[in-house]
Amino acid sequence: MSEPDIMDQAIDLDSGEHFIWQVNRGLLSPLYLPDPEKLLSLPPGEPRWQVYELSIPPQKTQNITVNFGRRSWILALIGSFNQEAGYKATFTDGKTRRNIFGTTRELFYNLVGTASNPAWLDTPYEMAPNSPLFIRVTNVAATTGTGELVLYSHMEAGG
Amino acid sequence: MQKHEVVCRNCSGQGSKVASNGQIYPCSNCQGSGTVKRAEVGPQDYVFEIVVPAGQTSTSVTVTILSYDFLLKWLVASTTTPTDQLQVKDNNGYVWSNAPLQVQNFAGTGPLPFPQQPNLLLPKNSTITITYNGAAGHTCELVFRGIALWDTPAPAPTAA
Repeated sequence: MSEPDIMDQAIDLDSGEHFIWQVNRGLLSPLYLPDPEKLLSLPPGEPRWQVYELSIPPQKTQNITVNFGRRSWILALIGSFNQEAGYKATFTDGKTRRNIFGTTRELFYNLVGTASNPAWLDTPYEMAPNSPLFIRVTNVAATTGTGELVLYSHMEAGG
Repeated sequence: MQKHEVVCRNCSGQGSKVASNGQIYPCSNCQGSGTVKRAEVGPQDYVFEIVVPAGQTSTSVTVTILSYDFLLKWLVASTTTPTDQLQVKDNNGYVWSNAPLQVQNFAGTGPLPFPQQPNLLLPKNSTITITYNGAAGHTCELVFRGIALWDTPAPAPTAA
């Protein structure tokens, strides 16, 4: 499998405005959603929910390869799981080989929420056409973990 | 009257058009900006009332966008089984997700709605079809919450 090799070689990105999470849930807060100008500057396209079902035995890892096909921008991470803690995740851009959501593997509990409280990115993260995104999820709990991980994104029109 | 910036339909947001002779010229509708400001008619909800029939594990509900273009701004749902799954398809056949996803991961609740960003313009007379997967008897009310927009400049207010 090529994914682990690429992910092991990935460069950790420890700064940059692309990776600031939007944490203020107040609906009128400009700190909650991405910058409106950045959203309006996206080319015409369609919303896209990339959905992945997780079922991971204890102490095991599930690898997911995402291919958007067309040029896309990740806007938010959404997910629900049968246990609030116990997961660690790494997201690696296959083109740049960067771990795009933080330098360490973070618990899902601290990385995603349901649609009532998703984790928005400050700046939409662009994925090149046909460039893969590798996701590695590890269940560090003592019981089998199940859940659903969703990448909410904007896909350029024209496919 | 409040106005909303939406993608120009004339040039699909490109800001330019291509003439029959191949020459590229700025879009006359948006003056090359790719977006236009359109006045709102008012807030509008499109409601999908979903009930999985007896003996079935899936059902579909279709709603038609009525007389005005609709700017989708929020997704809201109420269900007793938020892990039921749904998938959305428009009348062009475009499916919004690569697989059915849980209701709780698609739509928020009234107090905490999911912001549909960028706002999505659904043309009048277009249709949205929801395919819902759940056990027989399961119910869900899914709401597309947004703004109805005038097609042309809004009419002048009438004298009282």
